[in-house]
Amino acid sequence: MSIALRVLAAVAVTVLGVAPFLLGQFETGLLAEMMVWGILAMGLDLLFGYTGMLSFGQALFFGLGAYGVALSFLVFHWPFWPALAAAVLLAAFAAGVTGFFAVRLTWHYFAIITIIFSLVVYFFAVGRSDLTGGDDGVSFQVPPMLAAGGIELTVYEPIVEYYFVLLVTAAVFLVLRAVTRSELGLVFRAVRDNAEKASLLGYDVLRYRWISFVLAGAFCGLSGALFAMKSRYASASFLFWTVSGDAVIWTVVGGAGTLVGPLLGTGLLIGIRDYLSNWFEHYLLVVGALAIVIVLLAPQGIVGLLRSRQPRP
Amino acid sequence: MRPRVPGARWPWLVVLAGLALAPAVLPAYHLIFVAELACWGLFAVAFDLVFGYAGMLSFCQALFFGAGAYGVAYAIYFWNAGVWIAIALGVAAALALAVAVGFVAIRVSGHHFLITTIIVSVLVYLVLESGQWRWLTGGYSGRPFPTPVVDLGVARLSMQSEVVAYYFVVALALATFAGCVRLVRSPLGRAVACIRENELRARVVGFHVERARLAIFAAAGAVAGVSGALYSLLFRYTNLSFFEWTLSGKAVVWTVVGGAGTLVGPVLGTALYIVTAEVLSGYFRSFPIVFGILLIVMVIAAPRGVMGWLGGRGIR
Repeated sequence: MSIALRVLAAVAVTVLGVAPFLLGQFETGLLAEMMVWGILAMGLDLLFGYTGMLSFGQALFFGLGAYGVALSFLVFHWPFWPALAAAVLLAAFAAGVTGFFAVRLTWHYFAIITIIFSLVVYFFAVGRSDLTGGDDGVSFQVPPMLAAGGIELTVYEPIVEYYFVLLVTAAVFLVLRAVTRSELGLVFRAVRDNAEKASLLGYDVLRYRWISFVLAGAFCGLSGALFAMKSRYASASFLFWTVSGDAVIWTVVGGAGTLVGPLLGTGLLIGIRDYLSNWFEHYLLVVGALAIVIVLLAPQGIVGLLRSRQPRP
Repeated sequence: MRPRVPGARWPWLVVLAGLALAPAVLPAYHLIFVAELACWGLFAVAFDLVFGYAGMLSFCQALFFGAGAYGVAYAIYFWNAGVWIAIALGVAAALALAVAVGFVAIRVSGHHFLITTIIVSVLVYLVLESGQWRWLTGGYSGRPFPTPVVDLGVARLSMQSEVVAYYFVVALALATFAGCVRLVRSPLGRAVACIRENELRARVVGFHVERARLAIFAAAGAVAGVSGALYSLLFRYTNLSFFEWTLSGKAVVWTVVGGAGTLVGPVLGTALYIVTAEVLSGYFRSFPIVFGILLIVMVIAAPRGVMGWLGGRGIR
């Protein structure tokens, strides 16, 4: 990484760190929302960018994460942390089961089957609206994260919520960075670039695809859980394919196969959505056109574009 | 020329004879149902030209179905056009849209092609749905238009009659289907199959990859346009949902169930889906779940679809 990029990264981290003191409440909330969606995009990117499997069904795990916390609070009356853990485990478990089938398929059929899985669960959730609230959703109260000695930390406090999201996002980023730089990450990339060669080298391709699928599912579930806690409700629309499609577009625009890319793409496109939509009804046209231009001209996304400007070592 | 399997023609003759004689046996309601199946089957075939033969997973095939359907409705509603001119306009609209979309989409391959087609299809739907463009589509359910009259030169037959509508739609669908058979056996069909199998090698051999891709994409768009045109003539009805990506998704499902990379497969898959939908939806409200699970099983256990069981060739 060049010095300029290091400085840029340091500035970005500092700005994120002090954002609540610089920005208004709305902007702070928006920034937190971007980070939550950014986790979804990073989870997808582990699967798509690093392991080469384009999933259009990550909404399934996002939605399960959201319902994981919703039902933990509403039905089981669990405290904060167990509910969060349960949501992530639920998503990971669902990814384990669906992944068992999905990783056996190569890309066209993999993309199709992930859409089908998420649609099946979506229709199920809409059908069982007594439990899930259907498209209207269910709302719930979020218990405090920490209540000891008169100090109570709850997500109802915007600043607490922001720093909680920031810490979780940073943790996810660091974990994924470690994973993608580890031997496991190398195998993921080997599977992506040439599955046959990887299997000839002795790696069990299906197993590594499955591991990547489950990890991605868990992170997407975490994102859904955070989003549900942030909005204090979960709805079947979280399971809808548009959520998956958004994640794909954010990742591609930002730069698949990098970790900064999905965060950047998510932030940029959500920013466009929230600001442009105020004065332009067809802001989605702008988003779509931007995405198509990037796919055509810079298949490596914004990060790829920035990197190609660097002198090659 | 590969050797022909002896007797491979007789199923065709049986099907043709069955379709020709159907009006003598079936009640009017069922005739229209068969004609509807022919439209949807042709639509799935159009998708399979792009997916099964050219190896490009497109999620925007519905756009061309919609263009065909609205082209017909437009021509009849505004210009009081005859059936043939209306169909020609519908197909021309679909073809023009397909060339425009294809011009952008075929420049990227693999994952990015899929992503681009999804974006395009969502965008077009958004534009058509939005307030300012209501004049173009006439709202969600379009504009009703008068019963078309088929002018055969020697006779003018009104599609008010179910038998006329049936013969007209099925005959045109069959003719288009035959055109697709010719297409996939033509040099272009072989070229795109070659590109599907190994793009680099095809390039080295000297094929113009982008041009072949654009040609098959445009041709498939035109075929989808024919299916949309026939559908709207059959029911004198258009709907914005014709443009929706879910319809493209249905074509994917039908084709995969029937057998991608064959032309009969998509038609079989469509028939299987629509008939089961008709039967099952009476019992289950959540019928899509059943078919979704069936599809998952099919994709894993029988990736070549129904045609794989029947000994068809298909891809892979």
